[in-house]
Amino acid sequence: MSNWGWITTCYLIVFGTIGAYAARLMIRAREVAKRVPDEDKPWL
Amino acid sequence: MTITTTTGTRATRVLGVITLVSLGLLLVCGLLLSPDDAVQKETVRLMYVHVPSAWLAYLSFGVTALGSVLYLIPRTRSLSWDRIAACSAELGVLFTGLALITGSIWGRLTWGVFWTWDARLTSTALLFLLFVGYLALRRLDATPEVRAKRAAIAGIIAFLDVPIVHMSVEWWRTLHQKPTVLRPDLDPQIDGPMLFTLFLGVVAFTLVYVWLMIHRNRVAMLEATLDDGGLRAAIAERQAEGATS
Repeated sequence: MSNWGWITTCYLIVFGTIGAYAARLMIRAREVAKRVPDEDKPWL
Repeated sequence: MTITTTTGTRATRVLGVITLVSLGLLLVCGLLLSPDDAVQKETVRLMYVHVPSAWLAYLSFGVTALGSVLYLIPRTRSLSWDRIAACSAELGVLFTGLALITGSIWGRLTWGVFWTWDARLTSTALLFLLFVGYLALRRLDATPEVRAKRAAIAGIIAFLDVPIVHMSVEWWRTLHQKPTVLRPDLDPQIDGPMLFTLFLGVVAFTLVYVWLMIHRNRVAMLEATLDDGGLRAAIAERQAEGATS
């Protein structure tokens, strides 16, 4: 693989991992947020 | 009773947009605008994701250590500190993993190998394993207080590896280069446009950390609320069974 191939792979891994973690976190957030009333969400 | 089905607020949405814009700018500067290095040529562009990942590992584990210390001090003891320490450790493991992967790829291009038992690489791998162990320890069955105390002690011990990782290139002869920006003489040895892109990467990744931490912490709060509710319901059910028998 060329240097640019490795660089692109590296950026894809970093941005893909962060994006996948954020997406999984948002899905989990929706799952738990809809089971808890707003009175128990101090940030609201 | 109203139920909002998200952990987001107006402020976190604004922060999210700023974070995405900064990541977009990092992509443009890192892959297109930043010049090639005289020695490393285009492979220097790996620095713009590798160094910010390593910075976030330090930051995350620093927050874990701080939360752990605050939990262990009787005057400030609160399960909130334990929760923050746990959330930050999870992000720390994620970004240490990314620092190891990006570092391995960079090593392959500059040294010819993905891995070598260099002091910096080995101490970073040890840091990763220590905090994977910290997260595993948290999954053991225990009351929240016992778990928090165990985890706080483990978190502080594991954090002791962070200064070792940072100073490893000064203390031992290593293949890994010495610090370019955070040097003992505070004189960055890096060209202006590269320094700007690196700084942009650090800022963008720090924003990612803040945004993820806010949401991860809120998810953990909601999970704790659900656990408490489940426990209360189980106790009430057991008491009702006792009353009828």
